Parts: sequence; C-alpha cells; structure tokens
Amino acid sequence: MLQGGYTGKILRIDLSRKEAHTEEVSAELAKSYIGGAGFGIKMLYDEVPAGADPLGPDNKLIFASGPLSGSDTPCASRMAVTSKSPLTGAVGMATTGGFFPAELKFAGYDALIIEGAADSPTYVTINDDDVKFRDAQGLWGTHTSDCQQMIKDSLKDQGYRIACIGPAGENLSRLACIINERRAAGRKGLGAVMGSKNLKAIAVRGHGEVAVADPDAYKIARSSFREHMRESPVLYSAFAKIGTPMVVDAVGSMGMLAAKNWQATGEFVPIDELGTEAGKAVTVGRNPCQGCPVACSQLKLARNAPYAGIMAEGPEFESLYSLGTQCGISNMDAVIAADRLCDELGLDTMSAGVTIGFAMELSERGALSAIDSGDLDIAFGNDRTMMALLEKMAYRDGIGDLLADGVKEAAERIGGDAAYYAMHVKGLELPAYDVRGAKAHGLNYATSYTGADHNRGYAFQEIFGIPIPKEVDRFALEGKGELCKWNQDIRTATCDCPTMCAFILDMAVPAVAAENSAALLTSLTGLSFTAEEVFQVGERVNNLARAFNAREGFSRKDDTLPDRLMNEPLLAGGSKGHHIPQEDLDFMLDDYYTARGWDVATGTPTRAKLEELGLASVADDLGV
Amino acid sequence: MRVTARTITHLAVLLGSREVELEMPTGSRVMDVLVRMADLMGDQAVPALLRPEDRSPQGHLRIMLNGRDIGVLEGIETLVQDGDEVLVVPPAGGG
Ligand code: SF4
Repeated sequence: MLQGGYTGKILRIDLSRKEAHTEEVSAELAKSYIGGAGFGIKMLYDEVPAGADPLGPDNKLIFASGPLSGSDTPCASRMAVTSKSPLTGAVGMATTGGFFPAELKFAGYDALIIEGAADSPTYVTINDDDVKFRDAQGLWGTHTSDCQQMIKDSLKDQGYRIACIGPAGENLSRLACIINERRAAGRKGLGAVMGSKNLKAIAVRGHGEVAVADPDAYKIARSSFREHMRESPVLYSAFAKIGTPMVVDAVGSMGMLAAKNWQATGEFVPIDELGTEAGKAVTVGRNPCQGCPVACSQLKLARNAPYAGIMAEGPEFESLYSLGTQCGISNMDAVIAADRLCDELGLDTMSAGVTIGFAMELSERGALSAIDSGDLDIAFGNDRTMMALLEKMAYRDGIGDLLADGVKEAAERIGGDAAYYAMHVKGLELPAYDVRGAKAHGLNYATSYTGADHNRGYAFQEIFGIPIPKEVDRFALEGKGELCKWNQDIRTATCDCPTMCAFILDMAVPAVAAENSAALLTSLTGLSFTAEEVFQVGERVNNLARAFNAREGFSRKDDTLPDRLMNEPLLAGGSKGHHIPQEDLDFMLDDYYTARGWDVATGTPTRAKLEELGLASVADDLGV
Repeated sequence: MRVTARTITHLAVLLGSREVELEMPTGSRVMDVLVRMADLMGDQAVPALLRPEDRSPQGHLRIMLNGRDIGVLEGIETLVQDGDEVLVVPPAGGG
C-alpha cells in the first residue's frame, strides 16, 4: 500500500491522439524499482520494442521523479528522463534537478509517459488533473529561456515549471538536451526525441503535496541525513561556496583533466583561469534546486568583451572541460558565454564541446580540408569559432550539420582515420575525467548502460580519495570490476531511483548511502526497504538496462574505450605514463562481468542472475 | 634528493605556490615532506595541514605519493625517493 512519497499515479500522454489518462503505480513496481530511473527503465524495457527508431513515434519519453522528490528531504527535487537514445541506440537516461521534478509530484504524478508524435508543434500543460494540448507554432524556434517565459506569460501564471527544447532539439541534433529552468537533462540526445515528437515543452503546475506515511520515523531519518550533511568536511564549508568548479583544481592537480581532445591532459591545465579562484571572481549569485540548503549552483557573469554581460547558471565542472580545456580554451568569459548559448539552443554542453574539440584536432591535422567550413578558423583555443560552431550545430548549418550528431557519426561521415580521434563510448562523448589515471572510472565509461557517462558509476574512491567501501590505488587494475559494479549499483539505488542529488550523497553519507535511503524511503512511503533491498534495486535496474541494450544488439564488443586511451600513455602531469591498453581493459571487463554474474564472453546477464533479481521473463526475452 | 611538493586551493595560497621543490635528506618519509610544507606555510599550517593535537596530517586531507593515495602505501611513513612528488588535496566533491 502506497501511503506516502508516491502520488500513486502515472500520466500517459499520447501526442498522436492528443489524449491523456492516468494509470496506477502498484506497490510491486514501487518496491522493485523505487522510482526515477527505475521506473523509466522498466517502462522503456516493457514498452519500446527492439529496433524502434529513437526518433520515430514508437520511442517513448519518460519523466519520472522519485518518491523523495517533492518531500522535504533536502536535495531530492531530481528527475530521471528516459528514452531510447538517438545518440547511442542504447538506454538514454539523464537526470535533472531544479523545480520541475518536485512540481510534477505536486501536480499529482510520479511519472509522465510521452508517446506517439504530434502532427504539428505542440506543448502540453498539466495543471493538477487538467491536461491540455496546445499549439506551439508561435514557440517553435525560440531559445529555451524565452520559450519558458512566453509559456508562463500566455498561461498568466509565473508558477509553472517548464521542460522544453531549443532549436537543437527542433532540428533533431542528437546532441540536443531538455532544459528545465536553467538545468538540463543534458546527455544522450533526449531533446531530439522531444523534437521528433513535435513537442516543444511540457509545463507543469501543481497544488498538492507529498504525503508522509510515518511522520515520526521520517523526522528521525531526515534529521539524521541533515546531521550527516552538516558533518561533511566539504559540503557546506567549500562545495556550497564554490560548487563543482572545485573539481578543476582537484582533478587538474592529479593530471586527469582532459584537454585538447585528450592529447594534452596534464599539459594544458588552466587552473588559474578556470579553477576555484577564477570561478569565485565571476560568481554573482546562486540558484539552488527546490529544497536544497546547499545551493551549489552558481550564477556567473562574463565581464570582458566580447562576452561582457552574458550570464550563465554554471559553467559546471564538466562544461569547464568540454567548452574549455577540451577546446584548448582558458578564457572563463568565453566558457560562460558558450555555456549560456548551449542552454539557450538546447545543446548538451558536454557532447557539443567534445565534438568541437574533435573538429579542432581534425582541422589541425588537415583532415577537414575537403569540408567547407566557410571562413572559420577551426583551431584549438579559438573561442569565437567555438561559439559559431555551436550555433551552426543547433541549426544544422553548413559544417554544423556534420557535427550536430556527435563525434561517432561525424567520424563515420568524414572517413579516413577520423574515428581514432572520436572520443566516445557507444556514441556518447567522454566526460572530463581522463580515465587513464582512474581505472574503475574508466571501466565505468566502458560499461555504463548509457555509454561514457561519469554519473552512472562515479568512482569517488579514485577521484576524491573517499575510502569507501575501501581505499584504492587509482592506477591499479585489481578489484576494479567489483568496485565498478558497486559504484554503479549504489548510484542507481540511492540517487537515480529515489531520487536524490548525487553530490550530497557522495559528500554526506558515502558510507551509509543505502541505509540512509532505506530509512527515508521506508518512513516516507510506508513500504519497507532494508539497505540490502535498496542496493538490490540498483542491481536490478542496471541488469534491466543491460538487457534492454542486449536486445538492441549490444554486447562485450561495445564495452570499450577510444583507441587513444588504449594506445597513448599520458605525456605529462600527475598521471603521466598511464593508459589502458586493450589487455588491461579485458582484465577489468572479465573481473566486472564475473562480479555482475554475467556471461564473461558476451557480457550478457545470465539466467541465474536475472532470476535472482526477479527478472525471469527478461531471461526468456533474451533467450539465456 | 629533490622532492616536489604540490597542493591546491587554500593550501596553495598558504604555501605561496601550487608547487615547490624541496631538498630532502635521503631516508625522508612522506611525513617529513608534510612538515617541510607546513614550515613554508607559516602559522596557519596548523590547523590547515596538521592537527593541533599532535601535528599529524589532518584526516580529511588526501595525500598522494606519485599519484597514489598513501593509504595504499605505507601511509605517512612511506619513504620518498629522489624525483618523487607529494600531492596534498583538500576534500572536494561534485562534478
Ligand atoms: S547540491 Fe546543487 S545540484 Fe544538488 S540539489 Fe543542491 S543546488 Fe541542486
């Protein structure tokens, strides 16, 4: 029985028929998948057939806030957006924060399932149980902040929370994201899925609240969580003031801040220009997610020509890499401007920046000479070129069309040895951490169900030295399979499903994350969760996501890393000399599949493992 | 022998630089390098780098020798060699 946390309802929105209806959340679904990414991946697996065109009407887009979202548990206004990714062809799941996730709960829904496709530009408004399909012709083409403001104005209610796409999503760039407020469900091309459905925006307004099943126990669980947050040596003392840019200094000093398309890691390390102190100097405010006392999110203002006056929420660490070091750029104002431009165009800052860095290297190697790039000087360090390319990618203009679908697709179109310089796994461009210096983190890039995704199995042991479950040598291979599994399952179980900001869990409760989630979930929802059960939800969801990918043809052969990481040891910095040759990756993969109980030859979940997780029917589907 | 001592953020401000070259006697341990760093940092080295109680390293700091956490080596007793690099990183998170 769902007594709290959950609203108990899913809203199914059929864009083809312009119909919406609600469905119930069963206690069994809640117990087995918790919510958020768990719900999203379960629905994706059940409803999107193998081989479906990610940009066709058979694909679905699922927005799911977890049971904690909208409650007064701090830092829980998070949401998973799940679809079949047009960038990778695998599960596309990205999380976002802000206010939209909580508002969805206030409106009475644990999840939205968007299906079909509208025949003309449409936006959907949800005001509690009043769902309307509206004409978005007048919004088509708008930047994301204008789009959100225009919708609020036309509805005469500034309280709406809106998730929308920009021109990049409309033009089906596979690097397009979904923007809510100034936050992004950024990666895997989810904005293109929205664009393919002619869906410009979803606007939500809710007037309800999230019920609490056992208020006394919940109060104790919440107080304990807040106490852990206060005791963290970094959360309020540093992270709240600096935010993610602090990672530039930490990772840069360890020789793992990737630069110039991963040629100059450890060599081009602009900590003074893009790190903590530089960030502080341009910070003009903060903009927390709903219910977050930490408020890591920083508003930064460019003050120098030609970018003076441009403000961004961010750039976060990953964008300081992708729009900064990856492109050989150390001008903070340029990164701020590019970050804002990506948000307005609805482009994933990470994949877009990595793609531009890729083009810069190819251009410098003469491999783009046959391609008309107009009068652009495509070279590392040229921030004006970066800005111009972002626009061109969003509008598929000229060379922008070549780059609009990411490095894998561009490399195939360019041909020759371009693929060697394409930094991606399964089509998803690499995050900032040069994993030649962090092997479990690298193994996670190779095996994450979304492609090269730092968020699905973050190795905080290697990146931040947090010795949980144990201290590790970041260069060593031994034990990294088991560690990677643990990182993926705990992150899924405690962040992506309940839902909760990962930053807080890693900094406040790394040693007791599952216990913390179990206490909060049990008291809030009235369902009983042990820490072991919470953790097992993480394992179940990772197995189901892997099964979805297996059904699409993914296997061990796709669990790989870019050739450069396997062939070229780092030349400078704190991780100098390290790389991940194929035999090292194979060693870690064997270890990982064994830890997961998967078939070592194929990387496919075994029947025994699937049955252990209550997924016998999935074993039947896979024929294992 | 020469050892490079490195750190970041507020500790680098105290040290005066993110990186200093130290001349250390043969047989020095990681702890000896930290003490030399503390000497260069002046009064604020305690408590920024060392605990007031016993002048051991603050527990929340991450200390690496040639990129490896000293916890997987011999801790602060680990011997340093000519050309080694000691890196001290304050707690960080996010990203
Ligand atoms: S810590 Fe930052 S990202 Fe996390 S909930 Fe708070 S403001 Fe949002």
